[in-house]
Amino acid sequence: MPVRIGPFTMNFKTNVNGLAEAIHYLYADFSIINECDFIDYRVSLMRAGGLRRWIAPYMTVVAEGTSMFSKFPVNAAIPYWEWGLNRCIARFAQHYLILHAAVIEKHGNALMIVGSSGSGKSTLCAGLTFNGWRLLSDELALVSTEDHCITALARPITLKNESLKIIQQLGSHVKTGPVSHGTVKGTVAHVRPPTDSVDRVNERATPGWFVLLSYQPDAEIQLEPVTKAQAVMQIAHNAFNYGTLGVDGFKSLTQVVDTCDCYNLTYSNLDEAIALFNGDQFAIKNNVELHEAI
Amino acid sequence: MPDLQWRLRNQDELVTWRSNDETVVYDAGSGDTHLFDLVAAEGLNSLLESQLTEQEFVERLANRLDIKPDEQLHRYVGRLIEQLEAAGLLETADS
Repeated sequence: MPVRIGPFTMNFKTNVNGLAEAIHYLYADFSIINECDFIDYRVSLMRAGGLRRWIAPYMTVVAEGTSMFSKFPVNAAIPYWEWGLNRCIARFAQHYLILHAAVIEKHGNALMIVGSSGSGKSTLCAGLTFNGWRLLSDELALVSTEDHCITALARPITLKNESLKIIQQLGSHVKTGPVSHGTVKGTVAHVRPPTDSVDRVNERATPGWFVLLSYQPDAEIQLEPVTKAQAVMQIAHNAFNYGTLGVDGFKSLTQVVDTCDCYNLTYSNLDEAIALFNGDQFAIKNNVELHEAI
Repeated sequence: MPDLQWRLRNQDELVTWRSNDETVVYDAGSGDTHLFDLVAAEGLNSLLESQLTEQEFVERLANRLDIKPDEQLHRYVGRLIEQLEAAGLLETADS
């Protein structure tokens, strides 16, 4: 099944029962492309063969002939599928500086939310996506190394454990795929990206803000400016290919940070965070023209 | 025993970016990224000009910052040399 996902064309293949249906549901709004079109990445998730499949069945994700994940249990097919796509893009799309960040957009300006696993990044991203912001990505910020604009990569949002319930409570317009229990990250499910975010995937965004996120239970919401140099240091640690790109990665990162306002944010309550980002402080930063994807 | 001469290890591969009073240095030789405050960045600039003994480093930095080369600055430069060496940015000239 060849599909266009943001700037990439991907061919999906699987022999796992139920996975194709789940992908069809989560990617319902995406464009199916012609089999003859150029395919950037061929990605497969296959159940392993041999005798072992009868004893302790496992699966493997392979992209462009390279193993992304191997020997994971069958009950985690969908999470590993999505993590495999992330790893594929992070590994092969070296014409971008790829940051481990959620990205949403309003009025042409990108808000990039940087944080390690468990920082509440995807929860905040989903909360804002369903409250006035456009989803660019919940996991990968694709920064052009030429003009430093952010390319959209709207895909299903991965939610874990308690955050899944919190986002489902936002309303019936939140469409959730199958739930996988007992993965390495606990209970995991995916939220279908809003149709508008998929339809506008060719609209790039101008970097506006970096937020270095920390979730702390019961903490008061606290937004503090951080110097751009300190932001560079933290974001560099959260970039997939910063080291691979070398000097180009450093120059791209410093230039994109230079155009942004940078903050540390500690939060525990999603409603408070949504109110913060929909307030005056994060209104239009610059008057920008929307950029068509290159 | 003559004083040790200190020099930057990958001088030709250092790329710097300054923002207000802070400087970020990318070492393309090692792939490491370092954060310098204003004074440490002046120390780095001193070493970019030439290799230095610790005494010369103190005097060069005092001149750059327009301050006296007093005991406090001596202690600061001693610590800075240790930190730069630990970060893989500095080596002795005979290394």
